[in-house]
Amino acid sequence: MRRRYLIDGQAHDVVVTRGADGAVQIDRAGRRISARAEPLPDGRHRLTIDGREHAVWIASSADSVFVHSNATGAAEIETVDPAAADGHARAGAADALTAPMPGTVIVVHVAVGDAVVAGQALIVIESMKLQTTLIAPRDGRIRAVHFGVGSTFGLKATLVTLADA
Amino acid sequence: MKRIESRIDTASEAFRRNHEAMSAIVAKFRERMEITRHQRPAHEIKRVRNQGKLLVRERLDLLLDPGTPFLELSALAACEDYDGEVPGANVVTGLGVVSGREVLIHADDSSVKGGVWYTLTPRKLVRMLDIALENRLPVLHLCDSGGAFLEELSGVYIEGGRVFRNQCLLSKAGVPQVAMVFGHCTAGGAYIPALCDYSIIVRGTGGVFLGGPPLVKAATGEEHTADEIGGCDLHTQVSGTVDYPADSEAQAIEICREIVAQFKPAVRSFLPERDPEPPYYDPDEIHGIVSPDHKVLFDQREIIARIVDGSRFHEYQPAYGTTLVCGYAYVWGYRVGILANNGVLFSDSSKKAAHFISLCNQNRTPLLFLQNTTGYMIGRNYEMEGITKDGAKMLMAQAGSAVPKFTVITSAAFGAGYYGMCGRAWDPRFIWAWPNVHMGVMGPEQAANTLADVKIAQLRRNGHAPDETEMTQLRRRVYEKAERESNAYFATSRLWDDGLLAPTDTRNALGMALSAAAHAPIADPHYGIFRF
Amino acid sequence: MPVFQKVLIANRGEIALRIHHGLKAMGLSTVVAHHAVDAGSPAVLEADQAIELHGPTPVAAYLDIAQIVEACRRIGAQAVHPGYGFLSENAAFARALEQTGIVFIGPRADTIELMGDKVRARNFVAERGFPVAPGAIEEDDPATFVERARQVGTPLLIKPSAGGGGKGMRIVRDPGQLEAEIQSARREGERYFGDGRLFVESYVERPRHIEVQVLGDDNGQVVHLWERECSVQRRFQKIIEETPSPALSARQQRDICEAAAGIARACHYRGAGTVEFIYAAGGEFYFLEMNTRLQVEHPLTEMVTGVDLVREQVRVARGEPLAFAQYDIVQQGHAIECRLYAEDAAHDFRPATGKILRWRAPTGPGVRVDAGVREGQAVTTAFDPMIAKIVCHGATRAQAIERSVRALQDAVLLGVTTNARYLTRVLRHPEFMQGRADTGMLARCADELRSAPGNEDTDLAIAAAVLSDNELLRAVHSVPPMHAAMGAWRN
Repeated sequence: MRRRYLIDGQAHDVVVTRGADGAVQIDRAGRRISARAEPLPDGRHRLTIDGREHAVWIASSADSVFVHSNATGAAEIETVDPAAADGHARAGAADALTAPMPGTVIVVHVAVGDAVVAGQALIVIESMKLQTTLIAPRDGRIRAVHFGVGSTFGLKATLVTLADA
Repeated sequence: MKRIESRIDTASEAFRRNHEAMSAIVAKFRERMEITRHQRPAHEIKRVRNQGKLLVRERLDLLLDPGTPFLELSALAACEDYDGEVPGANVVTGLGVVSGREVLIHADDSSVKGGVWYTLTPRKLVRMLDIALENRLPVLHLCDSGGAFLEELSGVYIEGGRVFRNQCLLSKAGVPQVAMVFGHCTAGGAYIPALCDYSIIVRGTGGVFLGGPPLVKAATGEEHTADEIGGCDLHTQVSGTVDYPADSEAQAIEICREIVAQFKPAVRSFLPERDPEPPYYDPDEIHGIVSPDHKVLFDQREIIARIVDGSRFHEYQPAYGTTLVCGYAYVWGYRVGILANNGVLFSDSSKKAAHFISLCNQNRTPLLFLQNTTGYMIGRNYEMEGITKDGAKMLMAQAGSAVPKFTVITSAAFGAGYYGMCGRAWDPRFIWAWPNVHMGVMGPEQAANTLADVKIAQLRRNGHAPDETEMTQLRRRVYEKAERESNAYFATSRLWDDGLLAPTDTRNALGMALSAAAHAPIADPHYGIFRF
Repeated sequence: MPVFQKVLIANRGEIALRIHHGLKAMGLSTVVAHHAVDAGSPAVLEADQAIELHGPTPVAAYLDIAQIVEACRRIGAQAVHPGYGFLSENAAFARALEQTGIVFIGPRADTIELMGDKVRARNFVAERGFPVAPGAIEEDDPATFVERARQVGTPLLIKPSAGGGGKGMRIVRDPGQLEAEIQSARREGERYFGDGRLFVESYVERPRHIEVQVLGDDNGQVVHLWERECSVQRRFQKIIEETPSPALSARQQRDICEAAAGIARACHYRGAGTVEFIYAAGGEFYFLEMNTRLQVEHPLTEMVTGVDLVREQVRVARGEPLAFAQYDIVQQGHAIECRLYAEDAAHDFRPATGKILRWRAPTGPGVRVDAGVREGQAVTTAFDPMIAKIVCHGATRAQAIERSVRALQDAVLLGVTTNARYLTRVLRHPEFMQGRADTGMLARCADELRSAPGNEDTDLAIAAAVLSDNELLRAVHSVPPMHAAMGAWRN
């Protein structure tokens, strides 16, 4: 089966197939490993990768898996759905302005119904002492402003939605 | 079970010569497969791309479970027809694994003339659907065809109907089908998604209608775009003809994979009985064993040794009727009863076949026919011995078989031997020929000589005595035609088999076929009247 | 002598929990005032009592003086510990409490005010003969400010008078840019602090941040508890601190610590405070500012001196004299604190959010973890992204580094991206290992500190993702074994 994972922003296209004796084979970029997992009594898992054992903590959220091993520390692996990504790119990219990072709204320059031109400043957000001004990706009209000044939001939250002018 | 002891001397001159010749034949075959599958004019590929579509092979890659095999059926259909310009008869069919389920696939190839149907197109589809019916295999349709080729309308008309009839019977048998509409499904083609349990349509490119825009305009004067008549939104929101809308082909395929994952797991009528084991002898050595000249006999045990698990074979009646080798072996862990020609069929070998076939029916063992036959022995003595009624026993037992039958033609398939050894008309679940094969009612030389004799006699009757050169030319012309029509490509072009198979691919094809055949229940054996 | 039994903790997170532990050890009862978003936090769950604060935003609730004073009255708290941040350096808060008869566990309001105004503080320190960097203060004569600033010479640093924590500071290297930079700094100061007044100081190249913990009582007794070095910073945010400072000779150490004690003594400092200095490569040091509260990195001092600073804060607040004299305070071994932040080092340290799915604090000899989170808790951008402080003590600096690396590797925090691996890379960087880190190190060495996950790291991560995806495993194992064994065979 195919999966696309994001680790530290880098995409990895992976093919997972059935291996012998309950193991799986994982192919990526010309590399093949055989892997299996078994639970340990303390809540960890023992991952065996090409015969080498690693005791790790694993936890999953809606679209990410987090793994911690004492040797390599923690890693977040995000699962992306390439088919869905295709669809979204066509349908919505130019309409929704999403948060490049989580933070707080500092200034809202526009109101619902305002006509805007590409490049116009729409909203200023602050995150870690860093202010970012988000600009209109295209000409249009403001359909909605989803957060007011002082509101906090998460990564990729939709901040402003545009309609055609 | 003992391992077959190979007597092949891989260092011998004969082996080397055979190997060279067979390797060339197989290389040529693979080249033709490659061209048929992938070679398309740049402008056709550009057209498909401009429509925002994927090529059929790209769709298959997305659809099939990665890291699993795909056994393409009749890949070279139409290769010797329509001047070789309709690769695979514009359609890909095959047996593969989708979401862990074994399924048959029908995928239109719109990269040549928009994927229009020629007469051989529905014939290929009907054969695939027959396989689905016999083996109770789900079918996935990837629809993207321009409809019937106008110059082939009459041929398509009759054969095409059976596509839809088979779809109905499949549904009646409780075998699910899914259609993905990537392009237009016009006229009869519109029934393909409509007759499926599930259907998916791609927004923008997919369309389903009995009459497309030009026909509608001609018939009623209405002017509509294809999307208005039968596009994604109309059919998924208004008419309910199609079930799922998709924004892209990739998404449509994902939806289909999810649907297949919901199918109830297959109930199998037989299972592997052992852990599989690769053959002990290298399958590549088959190339050195089989002579490209079908008149040169070889020991089929040497072939069995390079197909079956561990090269192990339990031979039945090893000393009786020795021109037919019978016995048990395992292929990918599945037990099979093998019948393999080692010469002309005589009365004893025919009776041995009938007996062994009934044994296998009794103990529910699928049959594998390894065909290399020039027919049943002829002559007064043999008739006195009852060769015809003994051959009839073999046919009766074989036709009455309830267990799945599989046929692989390894070299020659001539005369009634082709029938006795489960030729195309005898409903093998799958039948393949190696690319070196020759087949026909008689050998090309016999055919050419007989026909030439008849023609010369005709000329003489008409008062024209042909001279030596004229006779040689006539014989050569007749021979060349007979030779061409007896070769493997001619046969596979007309769907006489389920495709040509490289000898080294035989084991995997059989493994997949056995696993597929296990989807259908096996009835109790009963036969017609045996003439004793 | 003020007597109190019930103390309200006007803070959250790890410091609220740490204060709670300190107070409980003294037999006091605790109340944690909190916004609803922190209702499930360990401090709230462990405190004897909890009282909810309301506000338009969570931060606003923790800054609402009137509400907190009212909460004390309602619940009967006789004293307040403000922790750090929030209202800890707010003179109005200290006064409001005093007026209600509630003890503010911290310095006197006028001290807070003095040290809260950077310009006044700087003048106060300079007038008493302690070193300050050459500079110019705008309000001395606004008309000539730019000219005076120019005379200080470049490089120089523009700072807002009301600032702190690095906000609004600008380094000017090109004298031609001076006026423009002053204008921008003023706008920024107005936005952040509502106060556009500025001052400039000569900028120290490769500066190191060294601070001294001081403690004073009501009787004018002041001791220092030695220094802490906090040079490992990114965007003025400390991430690794240690004590003793590897930069200082014994003599320099004594000079700087005595200067700090002297400054505290000069302002009759009461309670725990920290005097921060800029330390230049040549050995000079200049007063930077004084923090009139408990510092985030206070556990370092506790680890090497054995003094419980919260306990001493409470004792002083109760009017008791310091229990020790300067010579009683001995530094033993070396301690390093690493701040575990919810942030993505690979993406410019952008804050990370999420739910804490798994949290296992590291343990072991010499390891102290101050954390205020629990599994299931959401990490949002509403507050500072610090999740935990991992403080390791060793007999030597090398041992403290080894233990810190080990502890960071052992710290399991899943669900939110943290800087744990980044911290280990900093600890292992030669510049840090050799004790040469200055405040510019992280920016200068950014490329070397970037993670380059090896193939085997990626294998492990992907294997974990695959093997914990049941839907995927089901799909993979639904392929019949024979077909899987054939692989992607094509006829």
